[in-house]
Amino acid sequence: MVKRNTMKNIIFPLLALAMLVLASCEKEIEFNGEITKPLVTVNSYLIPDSTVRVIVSKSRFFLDSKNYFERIENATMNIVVNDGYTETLKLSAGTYVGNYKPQPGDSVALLIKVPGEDEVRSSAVVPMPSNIISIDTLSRKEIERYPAEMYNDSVISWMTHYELEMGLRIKDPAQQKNFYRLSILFNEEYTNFDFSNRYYLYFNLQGVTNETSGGSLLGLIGEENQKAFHLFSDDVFDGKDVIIRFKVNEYKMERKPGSEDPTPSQISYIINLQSLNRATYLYLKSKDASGDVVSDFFTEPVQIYTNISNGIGIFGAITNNTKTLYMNR
Amino acid sequence: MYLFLHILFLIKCTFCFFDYTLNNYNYLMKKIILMLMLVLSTGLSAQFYTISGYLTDGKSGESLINASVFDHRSRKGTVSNEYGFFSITLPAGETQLQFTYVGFQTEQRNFTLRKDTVINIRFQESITLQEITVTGHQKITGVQSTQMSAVEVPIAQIKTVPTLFGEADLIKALQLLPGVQAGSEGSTGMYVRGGGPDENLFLLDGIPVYNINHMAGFFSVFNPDAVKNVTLYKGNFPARFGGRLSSVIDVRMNDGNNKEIRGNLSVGIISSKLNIEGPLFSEKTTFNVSARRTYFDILAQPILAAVAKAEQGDGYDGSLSAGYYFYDLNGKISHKFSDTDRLYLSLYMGDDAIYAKFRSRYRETDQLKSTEHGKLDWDWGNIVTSARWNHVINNRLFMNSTLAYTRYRFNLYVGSRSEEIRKNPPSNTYTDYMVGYKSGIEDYTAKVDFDYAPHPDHDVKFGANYTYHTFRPGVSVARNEIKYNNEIIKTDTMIGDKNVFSHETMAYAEDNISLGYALKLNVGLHYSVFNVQRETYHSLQPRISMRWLLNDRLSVKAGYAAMSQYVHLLSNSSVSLPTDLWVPVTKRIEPMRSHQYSAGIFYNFRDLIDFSVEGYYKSMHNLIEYRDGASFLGSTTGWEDKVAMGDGWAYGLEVLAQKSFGKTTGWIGYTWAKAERKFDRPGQEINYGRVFPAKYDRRHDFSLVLSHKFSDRFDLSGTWVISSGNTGTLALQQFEGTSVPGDDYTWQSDLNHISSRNNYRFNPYHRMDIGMNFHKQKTNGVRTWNISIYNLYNNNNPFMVYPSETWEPVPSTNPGQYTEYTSRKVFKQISIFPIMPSLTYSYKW
Repeated sequence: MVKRNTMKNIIFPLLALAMLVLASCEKEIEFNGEITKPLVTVNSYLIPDSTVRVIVSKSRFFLDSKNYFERIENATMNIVVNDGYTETLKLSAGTYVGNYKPQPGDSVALLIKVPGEDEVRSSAVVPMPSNIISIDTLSRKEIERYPAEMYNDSVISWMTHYELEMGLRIKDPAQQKNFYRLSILFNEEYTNFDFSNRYYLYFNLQGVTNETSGGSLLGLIGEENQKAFHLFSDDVFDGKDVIIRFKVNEYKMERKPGSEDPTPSQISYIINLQSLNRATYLYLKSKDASGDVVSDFFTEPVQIYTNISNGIGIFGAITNNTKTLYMNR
Repeated sequence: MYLFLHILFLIKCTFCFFDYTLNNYNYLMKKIILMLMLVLSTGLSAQFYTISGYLTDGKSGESLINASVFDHRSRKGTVSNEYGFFSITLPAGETQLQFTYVGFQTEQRNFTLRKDTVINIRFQESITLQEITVTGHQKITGVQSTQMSAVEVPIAQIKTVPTLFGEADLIKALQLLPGVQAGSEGSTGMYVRGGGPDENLFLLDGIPVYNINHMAGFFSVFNPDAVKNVTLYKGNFPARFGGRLSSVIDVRMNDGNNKEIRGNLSVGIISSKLNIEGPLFSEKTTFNVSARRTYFDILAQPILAAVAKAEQGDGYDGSLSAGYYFYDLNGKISHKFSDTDRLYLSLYMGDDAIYAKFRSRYRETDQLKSTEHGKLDWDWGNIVTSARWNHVINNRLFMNSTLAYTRYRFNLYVGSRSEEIRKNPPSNTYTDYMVGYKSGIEDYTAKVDFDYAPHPDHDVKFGANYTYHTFRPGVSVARNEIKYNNEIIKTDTMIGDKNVFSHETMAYAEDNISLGYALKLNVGLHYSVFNVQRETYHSLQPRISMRWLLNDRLSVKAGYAAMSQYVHLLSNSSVSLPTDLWVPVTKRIEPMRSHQYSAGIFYNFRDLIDFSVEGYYKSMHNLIEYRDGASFLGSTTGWEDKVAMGDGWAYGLEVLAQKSFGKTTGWIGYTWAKAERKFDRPGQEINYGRVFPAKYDRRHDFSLVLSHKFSDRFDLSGTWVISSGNTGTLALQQFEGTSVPGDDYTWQSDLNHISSRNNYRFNPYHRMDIGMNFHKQKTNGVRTWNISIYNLYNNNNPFMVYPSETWEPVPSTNPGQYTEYTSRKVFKQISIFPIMPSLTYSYKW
């Protein structure tokens, strides 16, 4: 059955009208601005217990028809840890790798010398892991139940859509600025088939309640729209014991008896509340915003944050902290 | 004894004024004004008498604004006010008064002044084919005046400026003046001396109009047929104006012909206009009505019907109607009770509307039928209405009281219903969907203004104003109803901010003081208070300007003005949209403030051409800009979090040569200007807190506007503009971005690096327009054919630029082999409005 889209039926003739009036011309022109030279780009994140890995490449002029970024493989790269330990990173399969594995609290400086370029510098402090106290399902509500599959005009399976409200209880360190990144991996295990199906859930944050003062709502954090990764800071709950509330959609399929398709043996939600340093937070936030506005004429342009001196990119630091919530089926 | 009684009378008038207008006002301000009046009144002596009266067009009875009154003996002069009233106090004795106004014959009155005298002048039109010679000519913006940074453009001249689709437009004409930048191609946005589009105060008969744009800014709401006079102030603002940082556009409507019924009908490519004016019952009451409407919607119906018909068949049929139009309606009634009392009732209404309705029925099988119908109503517009009472208290003191209401509102409604009907098994499912959005601003205003001419060396204006604002920030309503298998699910959502109410009060006093022949000062003070959400802001804004007359035709002027603004326009910086929203200052978002210094040289050549060279420096504080990634399409909830506050400054040099009357009229203007911004407050950084060019920073701007009347049957006009390109923000470098380690999926993408906001300059803009009028005298009137060509040599001026990609075939040496393509990055430009001819027919009786 063909569905007619209401807005399309309305918008298309209006656009046609507009085009009649706004007779426009599009043409290729010569770029008359400054042709800027490529910049050294750094991509690296310090992860506790993982070796330091740094990708260095060159940016390209926006009208350059190359569809790749030239990797820099002749750089001299050093890290200095806590103003003491020093290591020179070695190139391995296009990535500069070291032996050092950072720990939460370490302060790391990065120095890169590329022939013909100014020295590139950056630094990062590895954040302490977030303090997750617990993760609970606060409520589960059936939204709708509808036929999922039909065969010969008969329904052979039904889908029930549930909305789960979850609460992630954390204790935020006081008197310091903290930045977080929250994600939820949905995991279905099919042990009989040695197979698991995992994907990131899109969810929106509801708000933050204060657990030490009767559950009062402190405010909203992050953005209201549904995303797979939510970035937020502790502006609203600095130093407090709080529950971060969010809703996820769960879909449960019930097949008619005798159906050959398998059902998962175990369902779980893997919640990862990452601690970020400030540069990583600003970089990821601005990068996401930049992606949203690329082709939007009505939105202000976004400058992606960088903490690289004499270059661009990110030298960040992230500490993971995961908790798994198993669901009964 | 006479002096003592005179002083007592002035004191009484002063307290009368306070009683019914300033009862609840600042006690300090009362003291200052009282002392000023007492100081002035003690300077009076029985040797001075006042000549007052009204200056009107002898043919229509229309009052003349800024008509010049000059006494050759004492070398003192004045101009008529917005109601045509003038008052000049001169020494007793021989008087040689000269009355002048552009396009009219000079009137002379020589007599011996022995008492207060009333003279009403009815000007006669000049003989059109001859130059008019005027001596001692005085305009409010001329050599003699203290006013600088202001331009008067005669409405007759505005009507001859060729424009888009042949639609004469006030704002498009003002955009051709030095110091004024137009926004994007074709828009009515005005960026005056580095200021933003919300920093301009548009006054229609003294009442603010909030949204002056039709059709996304391609046309303004001002119908030139209804307008008598327009004055643009770019700086050096008289104390009576306040509330915006960058400019005041003072538009005055016609009162109406008090002799006979007159009219003007014009039919153009996109709109038609009708203007009728005349006496009502007697010469004492006049009316003036102007209406304009576009007819895009009417012209489009056959096209839409064809589209709907083309899609019919295969079990589908439907109907579609849609369109866009805008209209303006101006109305005014003026009644003269007596020589001392007049009443004016004014109304402006205007709307833009987009509408669409569709209905479709689709039968897939004999068992299944589906239908869908929907509706869109989207309208936005203004109402401005006022009642004004002029009262001549005595021949030195003129009063105008005003009550006014102004409203801008925006409404959007989208609704649809889809339905599916099955026969076997019988079932009926449907989905109903509705979204609505409303926003706007509404003002109730009471004001009183006085013109006082106590002494030949003083010309005083003072007054007060109260406005009650209601800001409607935008409420969205969404309703959804789904019926499926006998189950109905309904959702009803409303989001948005509550209305915000505020009180704005202001008072002002200014004095034009002559200190000898050469030196004249205008000293003024504007005080305003804004109260919103338990927050009170106030501002004391001094205004001062001086003129040093080197000789009768050459003067040097300098001035300073402080301004405050308590409202902001949330708007995309690229294009004007009906969703643009006025919001008040809050606890977090403080009032904008500016300080402007200007100085210049003014020369009048043979009373024909006014030359000026003027420099300015303006600093602005608490400006708001939208943070990276901010957008206001649809929702203004939490708007304070989307903006940043910072500072700006602008400076430049403007050169203008203007000829306002004669067979050949027009002007040449050139501007060199620079405007920058800096947003470095902690947590509100834009561009990393570094300085960046303002959005419409243009270094050079040149315009030539000329009109020549060859005969009563033919006149030709043309404009040519050339300017530096606008700024834009381009990501000049792309760089590699990688996924966060540990994420369950990896990605690599091309990210855009923007080194600085507004880091790119578009190609220069230039355009030539011409207009030709062919007149023919008919039995009862004059018919005119106007042929206009916009963008005569079809220059592709930049509207938007963006990077893109093109695919080109790779030449192959092996015939029969499939063609390979390779991509090439290119830079593209979109231009709108190529060469656009238009034809308009008008008939004037």
